[in-house]
Amino acid sequence: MLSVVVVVYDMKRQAMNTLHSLSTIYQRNVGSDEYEIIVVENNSKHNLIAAEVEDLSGNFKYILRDEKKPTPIYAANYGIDIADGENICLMIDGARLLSPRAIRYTLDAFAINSNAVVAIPGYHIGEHDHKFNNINLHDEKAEKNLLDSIKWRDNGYEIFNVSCLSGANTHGYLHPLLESNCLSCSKQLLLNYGGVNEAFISPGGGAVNLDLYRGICLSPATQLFIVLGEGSFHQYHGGVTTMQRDDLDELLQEFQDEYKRINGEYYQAARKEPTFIGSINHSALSFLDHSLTGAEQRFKRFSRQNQNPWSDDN
Amino acid sequence: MSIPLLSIVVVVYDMPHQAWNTLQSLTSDYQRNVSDDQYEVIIVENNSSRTIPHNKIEKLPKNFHYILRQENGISPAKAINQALKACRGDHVGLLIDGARMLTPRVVEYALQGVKIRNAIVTVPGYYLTEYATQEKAGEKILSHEEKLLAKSDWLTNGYRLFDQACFSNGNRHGIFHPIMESNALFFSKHLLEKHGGVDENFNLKGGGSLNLHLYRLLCSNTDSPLVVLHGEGNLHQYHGGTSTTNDKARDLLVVDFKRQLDQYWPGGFKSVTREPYLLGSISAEAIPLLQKSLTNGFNRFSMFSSKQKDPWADDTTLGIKHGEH
Repeated sequence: MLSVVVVVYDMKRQAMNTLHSLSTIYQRNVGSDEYEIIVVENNSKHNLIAAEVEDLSGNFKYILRDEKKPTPIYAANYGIDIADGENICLMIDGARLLSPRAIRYTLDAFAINSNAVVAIPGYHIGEHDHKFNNINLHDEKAEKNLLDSIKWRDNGYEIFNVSCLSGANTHGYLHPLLESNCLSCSKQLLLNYGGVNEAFISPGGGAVNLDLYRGICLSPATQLFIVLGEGSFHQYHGGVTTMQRDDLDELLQEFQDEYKRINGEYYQAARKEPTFIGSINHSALSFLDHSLTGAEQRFKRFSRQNQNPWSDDN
Repeated sequence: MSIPLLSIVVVVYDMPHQAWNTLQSLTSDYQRNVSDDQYEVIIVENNSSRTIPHNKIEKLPKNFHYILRQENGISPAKAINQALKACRGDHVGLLIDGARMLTPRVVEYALQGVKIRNAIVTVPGYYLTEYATQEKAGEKILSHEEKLLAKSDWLTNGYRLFDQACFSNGNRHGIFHPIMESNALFFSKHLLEKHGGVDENFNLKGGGSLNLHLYRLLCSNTDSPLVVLHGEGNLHQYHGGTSTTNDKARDLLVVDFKRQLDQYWPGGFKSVTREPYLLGSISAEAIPLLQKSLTNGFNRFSMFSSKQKDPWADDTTLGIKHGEH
């Protein structure tokens, strides 16, 4: 079984959308006995209503907890700890909606290889990355109207038509991803890595999700699967690095520095050749096109230097 | 010796040079990330004046098994059924035309693909060169392809086989269109056994439309996904085959083939419409062909979208309930 751990803090509207996208009504070709959803919410003034979560179709568990530090890390590790599944899907930011077959294809990857690491590519709803929301005039109201207009609950693939690639994979998925906000692997692999690294103390966890992605991807004997036709779509919620702010560059530098303090060097995306898996709806085809175009240039560059594009320098 | 998961059947008739290339492309020296104990290859050759030389057969790895048989007819159907009986794996790969070379990760991803809810796995088909679709004189094509292969050093990097490849007739618009047939098809042995093996009534030259029939039959009778190894290929080498030779005789034969096929499918045969489930990595060499598939796919999807139709809905009267997996 797969345990999906969703961390929530002060994002009621967005999280309820995310949880709907995880329900068995929305996810296709998958039964409620194949996965559970563990919602771990850090207490705020805008908590979810437990009864509403538990009324969703599927195997939902809701935990409200007090957290004194501004970080999702302890909540994530708590969710992982209580998970029943042998495999974990971690969504560290509860504001990420999924497309309709993300769970099916994640389960399929584990059927192929119990050492699978499965990443769903990230997108931002709207024309631009949410850190440019002021320029884009993208805010909660505009996003709500946009989502309402496409009837995403009936056909989640419509979200691709109103979204852009996130900053973590602007060149597409034939370039190394910086991270995944919907990342799955076996619980044992996650525990062997030490879970979500509690050494990161920056707000929102800082670069902890990048650390996890790189660490898990480069664990020995793993096979990286990228579900090319599915997406995790960020909804605007004023997240630490996903809203426009004057001090964003400084903040990101602090995160990078913290990563270096912990790991001894600055972060680099893990170069590991992905196995692509899953069907691709026509709404998502333009992103495959973009990825292929980007890859053509990248592969040529590596070929000229007589280097393997998927060999990690470290 | 342990029982392999996968048994790959290669049917050969009167094509020693091409078949040898195909067999080399199936060895674990060439196929990446697989070992001999994971699969076996059953070569079934119908006797001719040009069989694969014995000294070459002796060089094949231990997971290759060779059967030379007498065939009085002109179809590969009986050879396939004989080979099926020799298959030990729960899953079978069928290369009905021994002239189809494979790219280097077909076996790895086929082994993975069949684990996805008992999927059927297909490898897109290409011609080795566009020359084969244009040039009428067979000898010129043979010589052109021989030089191309010698120059490409394909045994070192088999993805170079894509360098001059083009879509084949069974897959003429790419992977985002319904595929007419597969010349490298992997499926549960049980699925074919349910139908009593391949239908030996397809007794026309080269089996006629046996391969089209088999593909439609298997894909229509399962709710398992249809996995397409989008970054891999089976590449046809010209060998004067029944339906891959450009001449008038072929055109007349095809009329007979179609007549026989339509008898099996009420309303006439058409390609099975199933949403492709993609699996595998993408090499630099595969990108141009994938881009062509995408361009064609965009056009197709736009057309269906303008009619508010599902591009993967199949004709329910012909078997399958829905195309999405």
